Amino acid sequence: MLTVTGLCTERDERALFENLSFTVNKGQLLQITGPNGAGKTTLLRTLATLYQPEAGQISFEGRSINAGDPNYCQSLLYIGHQAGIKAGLTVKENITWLCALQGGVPAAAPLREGLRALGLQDMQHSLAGSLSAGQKRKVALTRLLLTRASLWILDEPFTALDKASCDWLTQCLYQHSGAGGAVIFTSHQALTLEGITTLSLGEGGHDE
Amino acid sequence: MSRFTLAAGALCQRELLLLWRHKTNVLQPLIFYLIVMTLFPLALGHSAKLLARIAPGVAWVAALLSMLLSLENLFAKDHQDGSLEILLLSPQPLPALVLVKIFTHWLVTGLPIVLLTPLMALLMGMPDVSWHYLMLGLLLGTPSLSLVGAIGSALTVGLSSSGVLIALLMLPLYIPVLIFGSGLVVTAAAGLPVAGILAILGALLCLCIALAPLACGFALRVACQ
Repeated sequence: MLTVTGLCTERDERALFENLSFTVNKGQLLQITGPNGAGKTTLLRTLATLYQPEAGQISFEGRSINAGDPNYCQSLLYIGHQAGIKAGLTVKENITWLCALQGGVPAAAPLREGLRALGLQDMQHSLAGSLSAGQKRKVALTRLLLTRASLWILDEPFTALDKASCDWLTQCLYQHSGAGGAVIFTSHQALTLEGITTLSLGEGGHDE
Repeated sequence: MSRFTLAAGALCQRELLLLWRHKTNVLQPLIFYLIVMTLFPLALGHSAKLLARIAPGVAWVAALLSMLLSLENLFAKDHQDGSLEILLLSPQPLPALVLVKIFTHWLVTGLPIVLLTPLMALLMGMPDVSWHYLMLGLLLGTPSLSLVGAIGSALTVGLSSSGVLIALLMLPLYIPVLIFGSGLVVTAAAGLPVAGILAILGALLCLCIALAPLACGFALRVACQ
């Protein structure tokens, strides 16, 4: 699905990784691990075409991709550290807008179900600015239920989530990979998940 | 409904909702415009002739500065909360989305200035023909100001206090609009043909619509690097 060959990236004139090559197949869950500053977020942002790599190539389904490639953007769901939740909009308005940008209207049934699973059903009409960090993250994660994207790139999706929501998210990731999708994510939490491939960054002596 | 119209409509709706909920951000530039325009008659006293003569120029300068004031927040908030990244990663063409955003920005900052013209004409004692052409000029010129200013806003999106920098970057590009905009009123008041000046203002607007969203899109991608 996604093939990375010879990827080199540097931030602030410090090489984060050099000659990184890997493949992500359909149905694969890839966890990127590594100490702080190893370049996990940078790698994810590079894969999402937000950063331009120094060298190397990223190809999706056999085609090399550039920033803003509409086909790739259609198949990609990226949720970063800053999840893009507008404090001045209500939970429902946020979700509707995020879906519309991806080209769809949120289907009522999965939305209701997801909001219930995440304990947000009573907060649909509260302003996102009044929510806690964990609740905001949950609002961002409801996008997972409403997207048709096949490749998910999630930066620290488990951060600030409670136990029940972590379980829900894990379930969600498995369902997606079971349906032929792929997930690339980072997490510091010791996950005891089966069937996950890991990629460790920062072990090649790049640490200062 | 195509996916693009859906996305553009949602973006437009989102922008208007946010502006409605943070009314002070919208009202500040407008109040600035009103203050400048009311202070001039007070400061210049009872010389009605002088006032009527300088009114178009004053109105244009005040409109230009007020639009500059409002531009700082155009992309900065989206950059802070990460929704800019979502815009960049949308399958819809980025320049088109940026154009929608600039248009909604103009609706709440530029259009009120255009609509306030009759009131300003009353304050400044402008003759009818002058304020008609002032209003027409502002209608053609303020969208150009929004579009050009958006480039400055996009270029400085990652910086903490970008207001003065946007002004320095963009004022040279504002000058043609200012010259032709106030020139239009002077020419019309003198009874000379104005078609040429109107055409130039229109051409400037077309040029801005075609190029500014592309430049903004490119600047935003660079800003997120």
